[in-house]
Amino acid sequence: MNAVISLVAVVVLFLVGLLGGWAGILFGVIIPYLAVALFLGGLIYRVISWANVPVPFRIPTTCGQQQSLPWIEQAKVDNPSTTFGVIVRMALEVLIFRSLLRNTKTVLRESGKIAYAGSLALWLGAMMFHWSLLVILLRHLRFLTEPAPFLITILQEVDGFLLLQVWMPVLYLSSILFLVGLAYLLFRRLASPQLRYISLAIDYFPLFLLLGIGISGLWLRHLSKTDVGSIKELAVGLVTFSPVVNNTINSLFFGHIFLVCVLLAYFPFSKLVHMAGVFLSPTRNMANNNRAVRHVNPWDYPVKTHSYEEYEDEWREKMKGAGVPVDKE
Amino acid sequence: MSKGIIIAGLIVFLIVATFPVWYTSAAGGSRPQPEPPARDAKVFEGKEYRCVEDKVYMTGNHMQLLDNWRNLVVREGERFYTSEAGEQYEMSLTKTCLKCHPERDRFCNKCHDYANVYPTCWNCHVELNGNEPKGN
Repeated sequence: MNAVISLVAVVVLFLVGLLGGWAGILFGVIIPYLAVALFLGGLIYRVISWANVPVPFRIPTTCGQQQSLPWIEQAKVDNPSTTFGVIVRMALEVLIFRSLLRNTKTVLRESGKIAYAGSLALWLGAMMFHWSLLVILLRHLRFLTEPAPFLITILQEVDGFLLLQVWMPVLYLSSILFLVGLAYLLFRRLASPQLRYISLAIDYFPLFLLLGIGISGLWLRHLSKTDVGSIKELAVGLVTFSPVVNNTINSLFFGHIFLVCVLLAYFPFSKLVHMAGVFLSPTRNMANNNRAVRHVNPWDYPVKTHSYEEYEDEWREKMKGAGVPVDKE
Repeated sequence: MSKGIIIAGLIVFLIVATFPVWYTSAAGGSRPQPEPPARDAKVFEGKEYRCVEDKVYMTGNHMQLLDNWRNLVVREGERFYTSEAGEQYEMSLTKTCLKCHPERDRFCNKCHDYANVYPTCWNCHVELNGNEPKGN
């Protein structure tokens, strides 16, 4: 049911975008500007509000031997005690999603015994999706920059070459990996009863939205082609704040761009903001140096103390008079 | 993480995310899409030529049409193309496209450079008017 609601929502949004061709200024200029403003503004708002949350305790997830005696080997990445170790750990997490490698599956054997095994499918699906999304975003710079940077041209040539330059226009490897990765991530939620049980509409919505963007983009490139020159003129106009909407752009483009706008606007206020949040996970971005360094909780109010020395100073004469032994005469 | 690092990271992200804005402005600003050049040879040897398909179709699909033609001629041995309008054309660049669009620089590269696409047509085909080949 959650999946159906999300699918219907994305289809409706896509149809709204398709109609956008009749209001090119609204769907080609105003909504994209609003979406980017919401994306950047929302992201800044979220990150600043996270930055203001105090993190009083060192709570890194430790996944190996901590720093100890010199003859005990430390897991320097899985249990980092230095900033460098933390940077390596974070980089591996952000770039290759190392924690997903720990994903396991539970199988009930025919003998009635339960077995646990590692499962790389989620990691592989996530890698395919995220990295091809990055490549696709970079490839789109050919529309948003004039002249397109040399590296973008190389990237697009390599991306096409890796699929052996099949089809006309050339089919990109990243387009295929993007859709296959997303399809697996969706299948994964739908196929497993346990996962389906905990999946909400907001889990399916981004998947359908991204699938919609990917399919409409592929469709636009390979099946219902439109005037790329006019699209570039619009895109370059948008980034230089002098947009021009030509009526030679087909409505599928507006369907595609509207879904992208929805994604951008939705991004900071949804689970997708893990793009920024992953850098701020306290369980990953802290060094495990609890014992080596003194960490003072910033919330601690000054506690009034009265040490024994001060006590003795205060009562020394009376203590002597009563025959109580004192440290200092 | 200290607030300073977080703000610094945020600023780096904003600079990267707004790359198209500052890059395009720095690289010379926006440029309207190239105007289609005036056709030299609409009337050629006393005969009037029209494009094999209409303009909107050709803008979007010329690459596919050319690819189909290549496959049909080279691999299937078919030489004639019937357009949507029902007219027959010989599938030959020299006898169709190049009559009106003879120069690579004016008719191909202008838009291809703008859209940053580098097709491989001219790796094999000879340019008629001796334009200097540009790198692919």
